[in-house]
Amino acid sequence: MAGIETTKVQGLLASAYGHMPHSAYLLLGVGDPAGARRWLGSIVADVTTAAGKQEVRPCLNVAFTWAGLRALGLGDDALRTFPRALQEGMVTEYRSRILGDTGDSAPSQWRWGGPHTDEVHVLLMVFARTEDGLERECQRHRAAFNAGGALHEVADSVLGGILDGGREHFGFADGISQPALRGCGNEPEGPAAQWAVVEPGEFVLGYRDNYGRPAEGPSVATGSDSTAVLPRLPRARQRSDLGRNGSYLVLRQLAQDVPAFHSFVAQAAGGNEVDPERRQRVAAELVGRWPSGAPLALTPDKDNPDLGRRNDFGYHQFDQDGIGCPLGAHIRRANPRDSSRKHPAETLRSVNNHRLLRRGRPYGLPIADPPRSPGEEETAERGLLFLCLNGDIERQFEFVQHTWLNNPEFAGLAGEVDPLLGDPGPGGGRFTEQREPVRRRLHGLSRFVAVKGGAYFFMPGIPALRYLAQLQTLAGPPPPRQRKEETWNSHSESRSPSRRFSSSGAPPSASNG
Amino acid sequence: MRQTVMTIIAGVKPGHADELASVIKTIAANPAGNEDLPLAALPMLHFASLVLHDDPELGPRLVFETNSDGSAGDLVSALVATARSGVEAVFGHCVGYPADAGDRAVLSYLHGHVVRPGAYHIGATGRSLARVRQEGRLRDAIQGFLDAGHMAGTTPPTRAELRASIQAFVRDNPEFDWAETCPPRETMLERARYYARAVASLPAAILLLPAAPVALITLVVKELTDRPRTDAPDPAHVRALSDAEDFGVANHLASVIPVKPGPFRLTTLRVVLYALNLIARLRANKGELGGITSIHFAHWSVIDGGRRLLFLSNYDGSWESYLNDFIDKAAIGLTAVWSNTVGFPRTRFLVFRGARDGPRFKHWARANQTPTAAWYRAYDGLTMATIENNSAIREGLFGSLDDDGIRQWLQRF
Repeated sequence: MAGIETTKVQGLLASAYGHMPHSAYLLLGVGDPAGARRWLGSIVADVTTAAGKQEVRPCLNVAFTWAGLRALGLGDDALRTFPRALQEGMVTEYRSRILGDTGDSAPSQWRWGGPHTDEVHVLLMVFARTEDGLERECQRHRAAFNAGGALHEVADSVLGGILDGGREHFGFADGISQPALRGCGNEPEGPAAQWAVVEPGEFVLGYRDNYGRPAEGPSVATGSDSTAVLPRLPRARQRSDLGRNGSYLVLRQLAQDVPAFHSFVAQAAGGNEVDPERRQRVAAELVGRWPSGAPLALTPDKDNPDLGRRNDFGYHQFDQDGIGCPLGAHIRRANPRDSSRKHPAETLRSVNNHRLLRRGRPYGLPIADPPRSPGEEETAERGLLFLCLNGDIERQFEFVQHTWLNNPEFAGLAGEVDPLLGDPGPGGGRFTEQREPVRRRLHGLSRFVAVKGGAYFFMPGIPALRYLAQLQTLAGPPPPRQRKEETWNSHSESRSPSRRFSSSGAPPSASNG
Repeated sequence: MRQTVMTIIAGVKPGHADELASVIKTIAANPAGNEDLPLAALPMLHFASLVLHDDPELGPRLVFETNSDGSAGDLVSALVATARSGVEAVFGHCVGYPADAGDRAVLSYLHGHVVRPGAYHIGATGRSLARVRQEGRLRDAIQGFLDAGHMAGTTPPTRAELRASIQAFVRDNPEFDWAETCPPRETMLERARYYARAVASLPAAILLLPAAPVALITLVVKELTDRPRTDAPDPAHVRALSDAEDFGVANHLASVIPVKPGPFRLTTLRVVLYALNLIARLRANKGELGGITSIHFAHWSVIDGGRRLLFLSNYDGSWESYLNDFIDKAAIGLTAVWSNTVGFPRTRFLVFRGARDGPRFKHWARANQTPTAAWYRAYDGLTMATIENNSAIREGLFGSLDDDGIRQWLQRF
């Protein structure tokens, strides 16, 4: 990553840490601001950056909600410079409407991040090569942040794993299509570049974005940065750049109803007696890729593992009508590429203004096919801990979710939403498979994915972490709110050890290392 | 077929703004079936809005927007005939309204306050409200026919057989008698009129040409000295706007922005609008304007004797996606218009930069947006793209098509 300051960027921007299959996502609340800042100061040196590959030592990244930054003591003058999405958070009536967080997925039902759960302030992400290593690392961190009541866990941590072949729980290779940052060393070359390469500012604040201007991040009064760890903002009087080298992080816990997905697929393929190939084909049409990851647009008739990681393809030239990859397939909604009858090049250019850098991982035990013991397996929760990075949450994550995935009229379709993530509504959903001579429509899709929690975070660059850690030098950060203290006290009694989820035996999957 | 995009604009009587706002709030709760102003009772009305704009200099004004089939006279007459009490309830709070007078006085008041847009776009050009609905029902019926699988057999039907069976299904259904004889979107005569207007503008364009170098220099100097105002708008203002958005597939956008002072900018603005309007008439009659396929009705009007520019739009999708379309697909045209208004992001040579500066353009647009007080849509759930597809289905249903034509037509389902 030569194009950006690799030593100042958190490593998650550069890597999904595929070599560290075990991970834990800890959701923390600030109990004592001064203690929390001291703790932050103590871990800054351990935070993994984008410089070099950390082979053995566990990786560590950290991000904050807007409420968390306030709890840490960041002043109003700086808090106001955050984009509205961060200030308001994921949970507003409007955002629930556009994100599809309704019914069983409504924030009122969430395990964390919702209106009835404790405020999430800090997201601590730990990645390790072994399960034991992860365990040890988490213990160490817990001891440190719990000390003196500085921070506490507000929800059960989520353990992310890597399933066989990089698949998600429905059985499909995931995370294949990723944007590449221009000038950062990992760009595909030649014609392949057009599908992936975007400007660094699309994900890293302070750098040039696709519109040719530096991506706007938050700022602080230069006077508050006594040791001058932050760069000055050009063309702004007495402001320093808190955003530079940071990113906005979206986290959503998505529970997947794997049995429901498989039974719908079986029914759509013609009942239980159908051959596995037909079932696989229906499932692949909903996804847009075969289980290996091979795109239907390139191999419409059967899976071809040789094409499993292929990402350099479009729809306009060979599959404009959706005969290969249906127009409403998940990957075609999530990234329509050049799918446009009249303006493919312009469409691709504007589609690339809405890319997500995805860093999510599956959680929970995978379901075996056929099931080992149906009852038990079907009740266990499993899903995807969706995590993506953005330079502009409204233009990227929320746009993809609302304008593409949840849009009932996407690409000339009418009355259907994303087959995997969308809320099909009370009557059950519909999915159109474009065919020759005419389409076939599948009816009765249920909601296969339920949201269990979510929040928007700011993942600061390393200098910004240092700035936040030394906020105590400032006069008058707001005192901790009394109510929160009480909440925490009652918590620490009822919820120790706060590891129900992990100790109840959800090791991060049958990961292959 | 004639369609009319217009506004009726009137100053609010001093001290009446709050009361008018509460009247409109009641209408907003049910604009289709409001007791006084049942907009759904107007069979020619596609979209309508009521906007209360409290101008810091010019005081509060009421903007009543209508997008309808037929002429302005048709709309105003129907309004008075079916909703006289609603007209009274709303315009009774406006300056000069002839309260307790006969219908003729009210008609002439409304006509007197009609403002025609300087430039407008109609997505469903030439398709009446009745036809939009009929074509929607036709498409649904054919989809149902295809779902029922009447053609399922041992051998799949050929394309031609399939189309023939759809034709037979439609012919068998008296509800769709209209489908075979539906008139075209625009007649040759209507098209010819727009071309004639374009030709007639040429001499004026040629006469203006010698002034171009001076105008260009004036423009560049102004562009260097104009002050953009593109800081982030008040989050509470934006939140109030977005809280009212994204119920259903379409949204409404209203803004009233001061034109930059002086005759140069006003003249530039009028010339640009005139040119855009001609382009829209000649090129944008198929549900698409400059690559944007999500606009039902949009219009700019220069109002208040050239001091303000009013923009109203009825569009599909979110504000975010609409603005992204502006930036990605239509930045040149929009910049040419809006750069003549106060605070717009810095431009070069009238059409460059400006709206291309995405984040700042969005800040500027949100800061200048006026909340829509009441909004009526005759069809929700029908996007412009769907309306266009439905028309294409109907237009390709009968008549001769070659095999590839039939293939493409069948892919519309």
